[in-house]
Amino acid sequence: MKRFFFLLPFLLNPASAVEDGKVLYTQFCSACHGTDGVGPEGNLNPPLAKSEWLLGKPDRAISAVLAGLKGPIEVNGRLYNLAMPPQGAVINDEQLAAILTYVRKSWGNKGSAVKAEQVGKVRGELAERIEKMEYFTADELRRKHPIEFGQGWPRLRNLTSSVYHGKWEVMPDFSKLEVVSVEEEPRNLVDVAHGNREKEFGIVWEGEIVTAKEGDYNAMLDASDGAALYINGRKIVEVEGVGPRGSERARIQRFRMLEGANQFRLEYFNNQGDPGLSFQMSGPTGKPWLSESRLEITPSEPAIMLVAPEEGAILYRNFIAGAQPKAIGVGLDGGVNQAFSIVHLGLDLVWQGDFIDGGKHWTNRGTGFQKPAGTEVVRLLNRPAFGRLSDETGVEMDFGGYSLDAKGIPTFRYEVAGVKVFEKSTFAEKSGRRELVREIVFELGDAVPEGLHLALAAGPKVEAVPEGYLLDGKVTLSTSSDGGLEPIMRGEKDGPLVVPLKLKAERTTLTVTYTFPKS
Amino acid sequence: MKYLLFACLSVSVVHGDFYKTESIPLPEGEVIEVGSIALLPEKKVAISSRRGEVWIGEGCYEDDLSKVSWSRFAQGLHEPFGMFWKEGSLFVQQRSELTKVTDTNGDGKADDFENICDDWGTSGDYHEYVFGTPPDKNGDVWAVLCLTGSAGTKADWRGWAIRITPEGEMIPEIPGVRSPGGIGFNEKGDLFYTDNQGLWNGSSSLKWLKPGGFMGNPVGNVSHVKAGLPKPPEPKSGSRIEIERQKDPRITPPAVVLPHGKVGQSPTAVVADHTGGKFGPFAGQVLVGEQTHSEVQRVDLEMVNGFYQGAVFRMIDGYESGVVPMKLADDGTLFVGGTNRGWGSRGGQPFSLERTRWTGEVPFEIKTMRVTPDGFQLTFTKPVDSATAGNPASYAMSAWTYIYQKSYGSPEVDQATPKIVEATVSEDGLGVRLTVDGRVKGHVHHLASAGVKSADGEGLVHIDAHYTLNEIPAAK
Repeated sequence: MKRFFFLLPFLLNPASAVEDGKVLYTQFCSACHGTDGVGPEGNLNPPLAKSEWLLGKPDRAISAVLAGLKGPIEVNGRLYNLAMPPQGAVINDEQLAAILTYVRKSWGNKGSAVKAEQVGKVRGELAERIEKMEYFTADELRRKHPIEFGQGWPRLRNLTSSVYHGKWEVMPDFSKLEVVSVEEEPRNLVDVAHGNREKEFGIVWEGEIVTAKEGDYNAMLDASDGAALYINGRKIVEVEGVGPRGSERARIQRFRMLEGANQFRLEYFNNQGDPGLSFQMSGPTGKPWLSESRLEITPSEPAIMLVAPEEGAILYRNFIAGAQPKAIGVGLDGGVNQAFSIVHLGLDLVWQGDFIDGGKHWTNRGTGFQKPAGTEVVRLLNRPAFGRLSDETGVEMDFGGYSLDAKGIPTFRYEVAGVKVFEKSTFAEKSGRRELVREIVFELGDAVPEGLHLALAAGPKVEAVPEGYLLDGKVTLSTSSDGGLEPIMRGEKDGPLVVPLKLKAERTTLTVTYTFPKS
Repeated sequence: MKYLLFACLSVSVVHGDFYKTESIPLPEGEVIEVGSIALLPEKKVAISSRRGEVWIGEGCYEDDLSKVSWSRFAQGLHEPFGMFWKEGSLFVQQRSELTKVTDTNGDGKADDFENICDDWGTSGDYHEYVFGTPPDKNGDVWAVLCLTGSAGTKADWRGWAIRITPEGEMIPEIPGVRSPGGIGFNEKGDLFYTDNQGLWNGSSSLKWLKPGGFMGNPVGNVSHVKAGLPKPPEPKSGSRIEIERQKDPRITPPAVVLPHGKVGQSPTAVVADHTGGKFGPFAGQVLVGEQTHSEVQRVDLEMVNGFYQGAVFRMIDGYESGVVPMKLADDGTLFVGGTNRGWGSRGGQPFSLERTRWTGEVPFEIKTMRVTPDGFQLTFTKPVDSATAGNPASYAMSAWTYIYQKSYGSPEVDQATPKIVEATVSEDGLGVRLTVDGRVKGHVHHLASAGVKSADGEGLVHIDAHYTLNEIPAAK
């Protein structure tokens, strides 16, 4: 019997550690990552099977589990963007060692066993981070624990960088510019720091990208501001214009490369703000990072364009960029759109063309504000629509709801300082230009409110033109009324454009027409 | 307008021979990630989708589910997680508004959307979910408002349970909420919600929204100044609920801890079995949805020394997607809605609607587990075999609690091994009184009854019970 007990620990290790790891994995991990390390088709949680994030030195995987991991991460050629909460408070060192040992030896993974001491060491190092609940991002994790460069992975060679000075809104034609400096890049990595400037510069990297085999590759590009990738003289992908990284501007493109050396050219410019560029390739032989700077890519969601029924309307109640969080988007057949703000009781936004893409909010967890899908977006209000001429704040406002007509077009109803208001917007077309015709009806209550005014535009640039007022140089606003209501410019210029509500009749109508340019 | 159903045959799963779950076909080509369910007159069923639509189905109670038909009632709503029918209207709990939705002209489509109440804040954060109830016994509607990002507060009243009167007045009632997954009443009409493991929640649990209580997470406390309410408790991180609640009696312990990983990971709907036995032998108990594990669980509650506590048992598994909303009809049909977008679930489908019915066969289960001054009293659904059920060795007990802390979750700590010293079978064979040494107040007590057999020699379908011992009654 004694001998049996002596042998037991020996027998338990390592086979039984893997066995325990399987039980623990099933309990803690499999709901998201699948019992097979992949999960059901279309799983939004990244696979653990064949993921290089988990292999090599175990510190990377230990860190992610203990401190949590959030934001975009590329695994096996797909982008994921969820958050894994930190599990350090739940799973102890022995358990995590068993789980990771199991994961690193299952589903085709060929990694070494993980010891509880290794977990304990990392836990000690990350104590403050775990306490503060600072999740890792994939990029941070990768920089702290680099993924080993695999044999045969595509890599750059003979890389040079050419620096240009200038201020551009779009990618300039570098061939017509005078180069400030040209340098070799011995590390063969793209790095915007080599521009040696904080703003108003451009860099062109040239060299060769070498692959072990012909096949389909993905290039991921994100930049502040613009960047464009050319392979073998052909433009593959571009981040256009000016804007920050880590937004919808990031791009991914699939393309084909030949075995051996392919001609490589990457153009970049920075106008204002922090310079930055992220560039990654993935393909049949691996996925190296070819830029020095951070990756903050938002994966592209599938487009789910919302289309109004014929002669009718479609509503979208969610977070629309530029509008208050409590707003209702209305898309009208014909291609005019609005975001009615329940907080401001007015139109936060008008635009023409496509209404809105539901893909952002209807994919994964649906984070962020979705931009209108169309063009000539004008943000009309940066404050509540109603105020008093004497006192901008003291108006009681109450959103009552809306009714739909037979075509589904809403009439919003609300009450302001005892006045009942009904408004309905419809589509019209005049001389080939789209119009949003907004009819606002005021019904007086017991008393005529003093000094009440309605802001039609507070925020956009307002310019008086013969037809009415041009807003942000995009949309022309004109009004008519059966009760003599007329807008005035309150400021010397640029508005706000307000309508003093000198309501005399029991019922007064104000029609506001927003005319869009020809598209 | 009626939509054609998709051609796929409905799938039916029988759990043992006790519960039968069937897939209710949804309209072809539509993505209906079910966020809430309402039962309508004439055996109609309304479901809301996370994309903001409401669909009304007919035939969902019929034997032949291939004949179910759906029509779209409304669209353009903001991710509703609560819905009920009252006086000819559907009341829909949207993200930022309780809305009365009405078909005024009887064409089968909603044409009026009346704002009943929208007085809480919404910052634009995706995680600010709002789960709402049907009216309580006074006609008021309750809602629990998730924290911003489940960890902060960027808008008014995040982390509070609010009450909305029929006139639309909002009354902030109970602070301390973190990330709810569902809210509902027990059979008596007291209010419960599920809160998920995370900051200040060592494990997920079913919490009693005790009037005047505090649910444990102080992040949303700041809103109290908006209404001149007393400052909610500020518990000490790294402590235990049992210790902190002695310092401030407003801190309400979870009624039933749903031990993380062991029982589930993301509890959701709270539904009372009010059917008086039509849904099996557990009348009066509470059914709890489990999103990650795609399960329905069962909770037996009791009130001891003024606090709710009780035991959770696993019940029905194998749902197609992550279980979120549930509604139990008077005839004993449990409607179960599924979605797993954004979070994984064992049931791999992106969305589902299913119904579960009791087959009439009684499973051999522990029906109730109640605390006694010196142990626990068990009742069973069938007479037990007195030899095994009367033998203390047929049972094993362990106990633990969680750290009450501001960081995410907690390991199981302060482990104890209470000893079952005596097991006495009642005369009718339906009860067993356990005398237990070494119970720990505030701990979860795990009872495994692996050795117990029924009089017919069956083992228990589920041997595990997890009892949360907030209070111990005094000996009489």
